[in-house]
Amino acid sequence: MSDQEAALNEKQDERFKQTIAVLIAVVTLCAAIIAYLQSDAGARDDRANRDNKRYALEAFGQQVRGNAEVNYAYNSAYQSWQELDLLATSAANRGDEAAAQRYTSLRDQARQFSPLLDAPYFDESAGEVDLARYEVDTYLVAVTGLQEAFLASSVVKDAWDAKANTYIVHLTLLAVALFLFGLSLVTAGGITRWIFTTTGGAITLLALVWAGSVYAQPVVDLRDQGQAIQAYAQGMGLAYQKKHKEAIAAFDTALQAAPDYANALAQRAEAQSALGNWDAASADYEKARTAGDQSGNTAGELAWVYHLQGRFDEAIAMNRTALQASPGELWIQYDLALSLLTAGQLDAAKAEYAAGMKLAAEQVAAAKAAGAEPPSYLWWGLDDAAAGLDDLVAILDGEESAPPLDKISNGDAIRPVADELISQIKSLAVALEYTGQPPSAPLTAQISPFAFAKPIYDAAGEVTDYTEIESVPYSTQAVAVLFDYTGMADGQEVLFKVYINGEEDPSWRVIFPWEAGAEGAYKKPLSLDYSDNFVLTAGYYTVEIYVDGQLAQRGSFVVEEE
Amino acid sequence: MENAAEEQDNRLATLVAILIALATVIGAVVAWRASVASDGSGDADFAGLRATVNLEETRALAAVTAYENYSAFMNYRRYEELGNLLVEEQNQAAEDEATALEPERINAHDLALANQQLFPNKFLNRDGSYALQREVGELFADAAKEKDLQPDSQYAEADKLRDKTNQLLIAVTVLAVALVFYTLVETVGRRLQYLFIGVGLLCTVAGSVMAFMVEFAA
Repeated sequence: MSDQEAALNEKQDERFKQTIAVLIAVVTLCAAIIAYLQSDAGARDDRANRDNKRYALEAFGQQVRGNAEVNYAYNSAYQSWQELDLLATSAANRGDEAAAQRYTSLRDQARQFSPLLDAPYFDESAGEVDLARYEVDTYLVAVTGLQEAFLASSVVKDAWDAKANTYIVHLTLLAVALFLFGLSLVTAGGITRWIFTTTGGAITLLALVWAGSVYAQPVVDLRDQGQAIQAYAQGMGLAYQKKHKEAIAAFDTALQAAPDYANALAQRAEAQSALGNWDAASADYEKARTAGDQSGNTAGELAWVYHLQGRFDEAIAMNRTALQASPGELWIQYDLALSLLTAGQLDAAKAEYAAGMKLAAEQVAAAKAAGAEPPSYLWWGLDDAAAGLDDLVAILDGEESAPPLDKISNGDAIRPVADELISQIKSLAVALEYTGQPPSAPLTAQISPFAFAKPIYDAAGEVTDYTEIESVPYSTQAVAVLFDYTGMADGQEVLFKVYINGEEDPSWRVIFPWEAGAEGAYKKPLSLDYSDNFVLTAGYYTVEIYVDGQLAQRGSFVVEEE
Repeated sequence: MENAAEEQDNRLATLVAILIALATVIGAVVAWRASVASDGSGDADFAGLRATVNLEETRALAAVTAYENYSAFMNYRRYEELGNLLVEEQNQAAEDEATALEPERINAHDLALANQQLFPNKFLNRDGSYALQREVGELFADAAKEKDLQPDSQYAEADKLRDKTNQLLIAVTVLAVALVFYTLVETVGRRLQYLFIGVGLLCTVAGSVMAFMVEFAA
């Protein structure tokens, strides 16, 4: 090699080293900047994490304080007012004017002990309080706001945490690149050092582009989206008071501030659904899912709205999606079965109902085995399943309108299946509740269809006869359930349940060992005639009798509105 | 002449080495202060959360206690007032009627007395009402003497320290820029060398001043 070539090589080598030095300097600078970004992201992560815990603690504290206040207002102050009002009415009914006046005076004084007994919560003429409004004003809106802030800060925390962690990956890549650049400096000429340099450069480029894209990714903080959370909390408060139109307006405000606010979309859908606006409800549930709400609950609610719209295939598919998100959720399982039944897929429906009943029995068995109790939603799920089937029968009878009757084909085949399933589900619920096991023995008793009757009293107040009725006027104090029976055995466990407008009134529930022999006629009174004041609440009454956990008969009557 | 240039290069290299060392040492000190501030912000956050727990616990217990007492007071007032109304009726009634009312009157006053034991009488106002808010306030004040119930100041301190950490890290980045310029001195021509040293020096001074101001800011 000539001196000239050697000098040229040395010059090239020098230039290479200078280039690498520049690269190392630039990469170091980039690393410093990314380190700063990582630290900043970490700090924001820490702050959101702290806010998150703070909101949780504050929401918990506010809930406890609010509950204490509302419990006092309702269970002490209002209960006292009601008690005194009742005593005053009772005294007046007895003709004891002095006592009536005394209790009225005390009752009126009781109003000073809580804002619940004053405007705008108290309706003096009806003697009723708007407890929901009081709860909302006292703490519910505030707690909802804090819970939403908690969720929002969780999202922010996760986003900054992910960014901080990703920046660490970038820093690691840059460190590798620096290492490769360093190696290229100590490696003698040739292709090797170029491999190191090129690889280092590529890694640097990758890290920088990646870091740039992470940096450019926005972190959406719902707390900074105008009044979104406040409007949402107001909407929840209004929905809690069943003021669904006003709630929708509040959710609209929240969504104007944050168009992708999934919870607001889901809650607006629920309010629309409560108003029977199925199209608007399904559209909002769909938007909520698109906005990221992949919960089983929202999918299940959407499936239910599809069902009410008569879109049974979509309802079936969405219920399956919901079950994937929330396996074992009874109400979704039964909604799936109901949609299949309504769509005329009888065998598939029976299979899903059977799966739901098996699931319920397994959940009860698992809870009992663990020495615990099954959750209340299990019983609610079973009640809801039977109520859904009742509604389906009502639709076939033209008494209900959603889903539309014209979307249901093969109604004649559906009806007997629905009746059989109602009986099975109700029997299962009672057997599980009282024995923890599904009903084992078949029903042997035969109970005639119920007759409902108003007792006729003699001068001594004894019942002398009954007048059969289908409905009774408001102010009725007693109705008797009359039926004939055969195949009963003394000692069998008999249970009566009474539903008013589809919801069981547990105060009427009675369970006792049968002592009336194998056959005969039976009278079961639903009576408040021992009271001076109380009458049967207006509504649609359904009475059910269970024998050894098996539904044996059910029937209905009406107490008319006042 | 070659020796003079070589000597100048050596002096320059020494100067650059000193400046690099200086920037590195300052950078290390600033990074240490940033780390201390970051640790402090974590501690302040923890103290703030502890104070929040104290605050919510105190508020909840105060509310529960006060409403329990208020409920007892309400019963006391109810029975006392019932007894008083019965006395008024007795005064206006015939003797046999008054006698018939006596057991009810005694029961009412006995129940009033029983309920009177169930709430602290010191919160009774002169007009016979109950100072619910005063009781809540007093319970809160008692707790405040024993534990920290002021989370906001702790959270503000944490945020301040977090900001300080970030600002110190910006200073570190500026010092890193200085290091880049010092490193590049050897790669550029003689004329630019002094410019790079100057810019590096400027960054060193700027980073140091910034760190100093952040550290000693009120």
